[in-house]
Amino acid sequence: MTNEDEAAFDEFVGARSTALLRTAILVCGASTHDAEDLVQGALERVYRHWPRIRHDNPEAYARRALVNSAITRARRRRVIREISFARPPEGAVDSPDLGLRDALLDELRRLPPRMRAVLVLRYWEDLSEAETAAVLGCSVGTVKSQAARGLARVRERMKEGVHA
Amino acid sequence: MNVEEALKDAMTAQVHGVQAPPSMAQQVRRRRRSHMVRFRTGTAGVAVLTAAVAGAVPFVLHDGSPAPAKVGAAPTAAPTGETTAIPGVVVPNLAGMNGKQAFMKLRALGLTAKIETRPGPAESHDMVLETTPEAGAVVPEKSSVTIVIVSNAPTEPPQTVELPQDLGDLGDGRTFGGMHLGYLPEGLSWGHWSGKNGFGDKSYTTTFVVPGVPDGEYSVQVVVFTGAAAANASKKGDEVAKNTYLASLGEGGEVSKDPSATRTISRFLRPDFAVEVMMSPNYGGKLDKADDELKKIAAGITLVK
Repeated sequence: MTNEDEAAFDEFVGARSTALLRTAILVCGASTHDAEDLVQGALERVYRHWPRIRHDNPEAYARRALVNSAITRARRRRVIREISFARPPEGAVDSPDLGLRDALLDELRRLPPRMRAVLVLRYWEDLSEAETAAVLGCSVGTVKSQAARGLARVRERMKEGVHA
Repeated sequence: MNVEEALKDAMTAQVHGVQAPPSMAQQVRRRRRSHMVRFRTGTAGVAVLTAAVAGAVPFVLHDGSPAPAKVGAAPTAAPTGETTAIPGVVVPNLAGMNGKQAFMKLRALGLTAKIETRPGPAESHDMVLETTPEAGAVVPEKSSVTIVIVSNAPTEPPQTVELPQDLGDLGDGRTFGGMHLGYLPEGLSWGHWSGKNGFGDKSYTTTFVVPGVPDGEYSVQVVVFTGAAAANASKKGDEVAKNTYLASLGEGGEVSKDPSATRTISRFLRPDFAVEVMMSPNYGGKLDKADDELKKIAAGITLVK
């Protein structure tokens, strides 16, 4: 690794780490602390191969590493998550204060991790279906069906939110 | 506003205030180093980093091995009678540099840098505290210099996950929801939480963990389904024993061939009383015969009054 490589890595991290951190938070539904750990892990992999990949879209590489480890981590917590989400929040029964945004995010967190990742990449990062498929290492058809099912669930919740 | 826009708006709002810390690149390097160390020597803790760099090395007079000293202290005088000309490098003065600068400087001189950290005040975080050998000392080429840098990494409180305690203190956790687990693999202990009705009315659940797994993770989870909730218990997969079904279930409870799917066994003790036992892929992967263990757990379940 030359000094120039090191400097370019600093620049890359400075420019992209906030965006990666935000993606991590949305995909794994994690705390900022957890998400930082995930981003560091992904960037460590980038750093390891930096001289080779720095001229070849390192951001895509980082995002792929990040999203996949975020999905893995979210999956590991799946069962316990489902339980805590299945329980109504203490004392708040259909609270009308629960804004639409919170309701949507709540629904987003309940989705299976991979489906959630599809929605984040498609509608928050504005990636195309093909780009999303490349990040997740799945087919475009899977992205389409996961996005459609995820949106349907969120839409359902949105209707409830409007009626509440 | 359509649902895509509403979702985007909500996601944007959620992460709006989030900023990556400016030290991210440095943290990544530190992490990389510590991984290299663990990989090579199997020791965690102090980060020791080796850079093998060959370079042009001047010939200087060497006077023996120097002692550790504060950075910036005057170099030891060299009043020796017997000096020999050997290839050597003068250890540079690294005072005032941060860990990375010091490392780069040593590397540029063809020296091997070892970085150690020592707790210190926040204002001098990552600054070089001392080197061994001291600045000005002459060391053989490619030898190693230990840099001690100040570490004031804020100690993050351990991540805790609030878990429900619906069933109170379950002791060893083996008896709840009207059944008793006669068998559990060795090394598991109760996960100190329990939930009620998360899987339908009435259902009860808790987990067992191998000591040391992070909060929020489980090794084995047991769910008891009674009454109407029994319809929610899985009858998927192979019937491996009477009224006992074993399958790999994916995120949506579907049968899955994905290696990260969860091995799940369910046993119906009565049509309206079923117990599901899930083994986390992490834990199952460490067992020789995960399926046999699941079958033994299922077979060991008895109803209690």
